[in-house]
Amino acid sequence: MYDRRGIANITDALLFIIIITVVASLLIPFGNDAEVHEDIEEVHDLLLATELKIDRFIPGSYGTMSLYKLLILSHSDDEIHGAVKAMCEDLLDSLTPKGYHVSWTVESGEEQHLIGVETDNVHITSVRDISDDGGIITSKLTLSLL
Amino acid sequence: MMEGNAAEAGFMSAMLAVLVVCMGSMFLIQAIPDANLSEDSPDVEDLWALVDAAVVSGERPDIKELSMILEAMVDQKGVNGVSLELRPALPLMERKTINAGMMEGLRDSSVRTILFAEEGGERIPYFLTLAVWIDV
Repeated sequence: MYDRRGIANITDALLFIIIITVVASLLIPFGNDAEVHEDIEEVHDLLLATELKIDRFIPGSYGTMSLYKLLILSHSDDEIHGAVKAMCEDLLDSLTPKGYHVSWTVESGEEQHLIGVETDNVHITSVRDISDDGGIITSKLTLSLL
Repeated sequence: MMEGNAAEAGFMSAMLAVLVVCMGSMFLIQAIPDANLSEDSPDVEDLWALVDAAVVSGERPDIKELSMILEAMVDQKGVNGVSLELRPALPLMERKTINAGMMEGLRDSSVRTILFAEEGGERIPYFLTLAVWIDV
């Protein structure tokens, strides 16, 4: 009536799949994509909310400015732009979750400013559009596996 | 035929045993850290609630105010000592560490990243590390 051998094989296969799943979940406890997704959104929030004194880059200047705006507006002066980029890189290094490589791109019109190095091995991306007087600024943060 | 069925049953029993061991390991891995803590002692997440009250405004909290909060934590049952470190995410900025009580017992800690408004209008992310030493 039943093919008992066939049923036994299916049961074995199911058991094998369950065991592999359990073992894999034990071996990769920190590879949770949902957590990484939350992390990248949090890092992105912090990057966009960071405001620095302009005086840090142009001595004698008054006031503060968002880091992404400093990055865009400093492009005409290589020295100041370099200092702003270095500050962005330091901040990105501090905020990036361990085990990931990060790159940050800020686009305004036809200008594009890249912090870090883009790789082909992109694991997760966060994109934000920010309304600005001069149009839309697009901020893209990518995490790649090291 | 009978020998084949016995071998299959043996294989399946072995597989089930492996499954039970794996699930048992998972349960133990999750349960062991909590098993070391006294039930009456607050854990680090409970203590964060007290720090949150001081940092919720977004202004970098006053060190004296934080010290008083940490002293209040040490008064709680089972808490031997507490430490809070404020580390700016930007280089060349000063980090601050506040300690209260004795750093003895089982250590538990966690880190949060909070954006603080500085004097002069800057808004800079800080890593806050709260560590607590409790009775085992």
